[in-house]
Amino acid sequence: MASGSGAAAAAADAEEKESGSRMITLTSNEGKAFVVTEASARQSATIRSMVDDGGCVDKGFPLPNVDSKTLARVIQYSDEHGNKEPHTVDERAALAKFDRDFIAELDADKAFLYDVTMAANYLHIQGLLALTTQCVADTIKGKTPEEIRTAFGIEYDLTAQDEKEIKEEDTHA
Amino acid sequence: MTLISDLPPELLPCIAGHLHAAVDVVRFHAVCREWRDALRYLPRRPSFLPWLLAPWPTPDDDTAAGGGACRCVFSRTTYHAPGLGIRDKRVAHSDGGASWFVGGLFVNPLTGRATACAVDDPYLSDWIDNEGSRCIFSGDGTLLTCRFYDAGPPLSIYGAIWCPDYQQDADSDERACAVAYHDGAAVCADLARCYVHEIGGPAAGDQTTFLPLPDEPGKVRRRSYLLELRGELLLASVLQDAGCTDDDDDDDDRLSVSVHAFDLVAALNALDQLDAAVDGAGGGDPPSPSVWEKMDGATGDHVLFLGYPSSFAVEAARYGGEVPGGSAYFVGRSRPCRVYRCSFEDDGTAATLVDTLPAGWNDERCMWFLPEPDIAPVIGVRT
Repeated sequence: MASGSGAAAAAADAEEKESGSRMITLTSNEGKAFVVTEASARQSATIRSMVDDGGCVDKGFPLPNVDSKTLARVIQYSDEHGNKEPHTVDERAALAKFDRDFIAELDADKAFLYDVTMAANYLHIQGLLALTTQCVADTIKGKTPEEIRTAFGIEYDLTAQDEKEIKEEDTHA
Repeated sequence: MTLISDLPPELLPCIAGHLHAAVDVVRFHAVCREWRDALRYLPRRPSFLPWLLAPWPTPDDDTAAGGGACRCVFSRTTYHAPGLGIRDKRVAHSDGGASWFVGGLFVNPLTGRATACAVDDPYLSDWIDNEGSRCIFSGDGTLLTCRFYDAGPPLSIYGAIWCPDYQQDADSDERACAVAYHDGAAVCADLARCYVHEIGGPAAGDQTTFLPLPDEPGKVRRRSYLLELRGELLLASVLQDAGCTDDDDDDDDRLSVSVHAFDLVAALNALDQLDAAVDGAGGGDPPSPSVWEKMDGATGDHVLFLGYPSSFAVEAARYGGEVPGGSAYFVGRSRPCRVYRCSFEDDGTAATLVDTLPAGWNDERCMWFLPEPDIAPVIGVRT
């Protein structure tokens, strides 16, 4: 749908307006196909730009970095945020509640939380990325560096010079 | 399956961007090399939640000798600013900053960084050195200093406005509980009245007129705070349901906060009329001019930090939902003091206890300030 002429551009616009009803196929790295509305898929900036660049909408989009379980969960978020636009206070509250419940479930399974974070990053779904990184940040809050290292299996690799600087920064009682 | 240590480095700034307690950012920064480096790539400086600065070293504290005590009520951490706090030399900045006034310099309580004071007057140090002086530094370079005489509530005030090139005594011997410099005038408010003194206005001792504070039916005003928001002067009142006693009891659930905008021009007009009425026949109750406008809803995207000697407002969005908009934080009187949060959007909502301050924090005259810790390597603002 390259817009070579005004007529083509108009046709593209018309198609754009139809986009809510157009379906797009996303394929996980396990080869499982997920059919979603274009509005849902457009939550991902990565897919959005592929669609807008006239990518192979009909053939669908293979996502070699995302497994089926993670993709299903990401689509759950995109459907909720892409398929309906909240207008009223109640609708916005419902969406906020969806986000809270969504992240509470992920929080219970940290490994899955990181998988969804990676997928949100890869697909550039800003809202989802903000939600998951907030959740990771919440687990860091109140922990000492040692506790953070232990909790997340991070190796201590600071030099004597770093330690000296840190001592100056952190004189907390 | 992914572990946090497998997350790509570009995600670390996203995660760090959600941290708003200074201590969490400092600790994030001390985990490992990769995390240290991540802070270099923050899109902007992190917005730190304010800290409380105690009036003077807390007497029960072993580390009091270490200097002025700071408290982050959100992360429940205490910090001692080294080498400061022998005497109360706090200066509140109307933008939420804080400094100690030492040897003619404003000194950052966390980093010790000093900036020169534009006011060059030998008497200024006397004012600030005097225990119990309130010092508020305004955005336009003006410094307001004042002192309350402890003659039992309400208090008497004596103060001065220090401009870089102008100085005049302000309201002398007036009664007040909150004080702010706004648009060329010193405004004081006690629990029932407000006083305005303009630079170049009538001589200090001559001012006898005042305006009533807005009525709060069914409630008793326990404390008044003045602060600036979007160029307007606001009165924030901590209220308690009528019938409660204001002793050291902790009758938390009857507290609420209301916010009014103060129209300085209308107030000065009203005061002129009052003065004329006093000079003339006098008598009768003072009129109740519309200088106050209730604006609880209009500040809903801000969070107010009500403290001593001054208060300030911050956009709630800066903290990514960590503190609710349309609310006010203040320090309650108890031993040790407690910090409460009240919503001023839903009238009558119970105050929430945020933090009970550590032992020794028995003086509620704590000052909120926005910490600017030195985190090395310097946090880069990417251009």
